[in-house]
Amino acid sequence: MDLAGSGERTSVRGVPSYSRRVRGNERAWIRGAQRGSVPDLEQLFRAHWPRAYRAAYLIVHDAAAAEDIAQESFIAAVRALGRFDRRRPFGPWLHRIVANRAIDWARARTARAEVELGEPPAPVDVPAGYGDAAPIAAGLLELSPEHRAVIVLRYLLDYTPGEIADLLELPRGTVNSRLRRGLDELGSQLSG
Amino acid sequence: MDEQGVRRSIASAVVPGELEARRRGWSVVREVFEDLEPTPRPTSRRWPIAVVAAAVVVVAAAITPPGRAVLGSVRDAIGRERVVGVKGAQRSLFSLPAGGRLLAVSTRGPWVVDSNGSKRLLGAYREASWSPYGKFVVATKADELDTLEPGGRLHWSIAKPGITGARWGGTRTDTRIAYLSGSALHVIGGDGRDDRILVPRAAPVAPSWKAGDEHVLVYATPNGRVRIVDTDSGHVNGGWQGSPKQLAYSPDGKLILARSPKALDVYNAIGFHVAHITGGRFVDGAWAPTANTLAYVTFDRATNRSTVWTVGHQGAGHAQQLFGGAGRISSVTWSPDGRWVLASWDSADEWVFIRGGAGATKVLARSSITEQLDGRAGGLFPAVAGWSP
Repeated sequence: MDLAGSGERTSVRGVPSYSRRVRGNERAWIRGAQRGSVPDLEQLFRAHWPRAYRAAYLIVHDAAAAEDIAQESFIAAVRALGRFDRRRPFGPWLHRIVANRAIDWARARTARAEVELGEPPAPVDVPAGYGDAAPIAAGLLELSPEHRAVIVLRYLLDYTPGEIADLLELPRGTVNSRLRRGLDELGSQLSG
Repeated sequence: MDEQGVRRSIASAVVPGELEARRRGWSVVREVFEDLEPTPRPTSRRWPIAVVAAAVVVVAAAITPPGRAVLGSVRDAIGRERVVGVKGAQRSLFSLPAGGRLLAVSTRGPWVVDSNGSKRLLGAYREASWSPYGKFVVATKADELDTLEPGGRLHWSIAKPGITGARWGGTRTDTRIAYLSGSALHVIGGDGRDDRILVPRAAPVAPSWKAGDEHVLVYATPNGRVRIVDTDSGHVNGGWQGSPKQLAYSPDGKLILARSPKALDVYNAIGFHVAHITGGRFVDGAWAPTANTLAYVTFDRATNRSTVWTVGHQGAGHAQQLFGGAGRISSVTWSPDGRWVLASWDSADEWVFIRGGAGATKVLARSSITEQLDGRAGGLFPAVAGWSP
């Protein structure tokens, strides 16, 4: 399988959009995967991996950890496919795992750095080629993992505040305040 | 920056290693998927059948001797199967029925659960296993192996690509960890030193250490063989032909369990065949810590039922049914004192503790395991990775 040349419709810089077409096919892919079809699982993977990986990366800012989180989230989802209700969309189910694991990872890294080293977490390089997005990546780094997660869920994965509240099991007011505060901090960092 | 600006910037950020991560991710996900079984298709029965089924379950539970109970399921109004768990299961992990600590891996990472029910999350790892005496845990991510105290304190860490199947063996003073990095089988000292490749190509099956100070390991090759090797000298002590999915040395180091989907086989220390068990699809097997008794789980796809069995005499005795239930039981784990078997009943979201032996069998259950360890109801059932002293 050549995942590089998927030929699927993409949005900005190669990230496939979670389109209605994907949603329409998703039930069939899940049904097929539940019956053991590798091609159907592959379609599901191709539709959801890029956003899962990107979301994890933007929360943890560590490519290896993001890969680990996205991979493990998919594996966890695959292992539970048999119990998945096909009437529900796959994306929120997966993104819930990704977001929570990414938050846990980021918290653990911070805690470990404090306990083990007595120093702040190691600086994370903003990779070359970040281009116009470099400031936002640097700005996200200044936020807490919880704030990063709601920003990523809202502005990368397009969930509403109510949906984010469900995914992260938070009160909606908390989500709104984190969004507001996250945007304010991003704005002040980027303008400063 | 306005909301649209944030949206554009986030969407256009170049994430490093995206393509390679995607390729590696698919490779691993597919491998895991191909090792699973397809889900039985739900039927379209309606509520009258559900009522009858529920009645049958209640009657069966009432008349079946405890511990030999085969618990059933009902179907809801749209025909989906709903598993009925053990009656009276405790909804919280207040305690374990025996001493020691459980290691369970949820989607959030591995938890150490003490016998009094207290638990600690070790971090965002995907696999974990105990050191030989339960003093440490080896936990792995895709590209990192960490050793930790059960309290969570990190000891040392090593980065390698595609780490799986880490297993810790040895004595109280001299230990080794074997792990797979991609297809290469590595061995590293318990202090994090002297990492080396033992064999460049091994099958994706966790190796198993012989207990004691010999540093002998059993592993599967990618071309359908199993080898028993002295990791210090490289000498091959024995082996056999086969492609098992699970390998496990008995606690006394005299026997090796090899599980494949269609059979359980037992071999001696140089690879001579001792016992062969068939019947059903084999999901997991585990040696009792104090005797050459095996516990194992079978799954019957036609009836969608799982059964827990025990068999003595090095696997050559008469198998006894210990417990059965609808849906999936994913693993069996012995308590450190060898008196209890923990069956991880995924479909009922329960840990079922079964005490066998002569006379009456006792069954205790803890429900809502997913919510307690995964942090949310309806999540993914945690996998039990060991029960240490």
